[in-house]
Amino acid sequence: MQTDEASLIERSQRGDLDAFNALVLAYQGQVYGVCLRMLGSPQPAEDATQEAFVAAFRAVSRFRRGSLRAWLLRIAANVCYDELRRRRSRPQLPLEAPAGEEQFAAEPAAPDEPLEERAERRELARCLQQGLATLPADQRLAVILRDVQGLAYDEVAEATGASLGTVKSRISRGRAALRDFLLAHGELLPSRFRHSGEG
Amino acid sequence: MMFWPGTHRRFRESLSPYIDGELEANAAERLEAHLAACEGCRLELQQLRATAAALHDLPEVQVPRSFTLSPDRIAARRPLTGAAAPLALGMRLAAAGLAVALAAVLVVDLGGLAGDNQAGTTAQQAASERNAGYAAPTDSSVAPDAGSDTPTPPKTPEAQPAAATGDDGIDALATAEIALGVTLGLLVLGGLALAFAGRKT
Repeated sequence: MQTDEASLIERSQRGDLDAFNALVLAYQGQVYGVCLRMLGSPQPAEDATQEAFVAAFRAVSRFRRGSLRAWLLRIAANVCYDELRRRRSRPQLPLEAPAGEEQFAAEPAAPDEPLEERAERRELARCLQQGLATLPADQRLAVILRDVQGLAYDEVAEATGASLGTVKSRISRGRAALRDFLLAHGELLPSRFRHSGEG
Repeated sequence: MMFWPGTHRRFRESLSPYIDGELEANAAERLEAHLAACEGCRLELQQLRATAAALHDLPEVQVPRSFTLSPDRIAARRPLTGAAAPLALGMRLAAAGLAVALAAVLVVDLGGLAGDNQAGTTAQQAASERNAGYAAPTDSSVAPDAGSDTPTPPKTPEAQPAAATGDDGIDALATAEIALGVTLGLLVLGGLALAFAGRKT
């Protein structure tokens, strides 16, 4: 897999668009996922994802080593920051589009999942997205990369261009703020906390 | 067991990296000893774990379409999104131009004032001295680009230091200020034009 990726990168650096598109297919889910969680609605996330891959193709000759995923996510994060800045300069538009989990095209429920649990899961997901939207952008990005995308701390540091200490601090503050938001808004959470507390 | 608030704060900042196994061994041991004795911090640990787990369990988003690139897409310039893009660009250009032009005017003006103070003359004296200087038609140091055989005396006292070095200095200052004024006007007009263009798109 790594060898395949290294080969695809090398071919992309020589201008091979097919090789680069193979990388796009491998990473578009994660890049789009980060953009969607950062921006809160599908259309801007699509635009940001496409823009990130175009920028990545133009810059791929400068990619040297390290995690390609972190490099791509860093480009995507920068595109998202630009979009958030544009939104701030247009105060007539809401900073965050109202987030409903239906916008995120949730994976289909397991056939044997009780209806009540499914509704609870959707409600929690909706609440989490609303909570994410309240975080400062750098904390939001760190939490999304770590907890939603599952990156290791050093990879988060690579993807955000921040030091490891800064990453720890952003994740810690972001989680604490999100926990406060869930406690204030999510009536479902106390039972979840009791279950998770066993671990 | 009682703990000082600062102690709790320090330990609570360690909870998140502890959950991820990112705390150093010594710090983790100290935290675990604290957790054994502190119910509040134990509850916070549970809540943070649950928050991280809930985020981890979020459904994976479905990609709405393929983002593979075509040669056309790569060649295309990045589209400007929304009407505000040219507007913002125009305003930024105008603001930057204004800042540069104002800074330049200030530098020129303050330089002139400092010169006045050094000479220890009043504005009236300066004006009369300049007039006297311009009254001397035999002065051969008039700049060739002055564009006139009978130059009009400048109306502001800021040109006084230049009077000591010759009339060409006065003209240079006046020309510089006019050029700055014109530049300023052009930048403002450019910004306004871009702003209107932005509203039409």
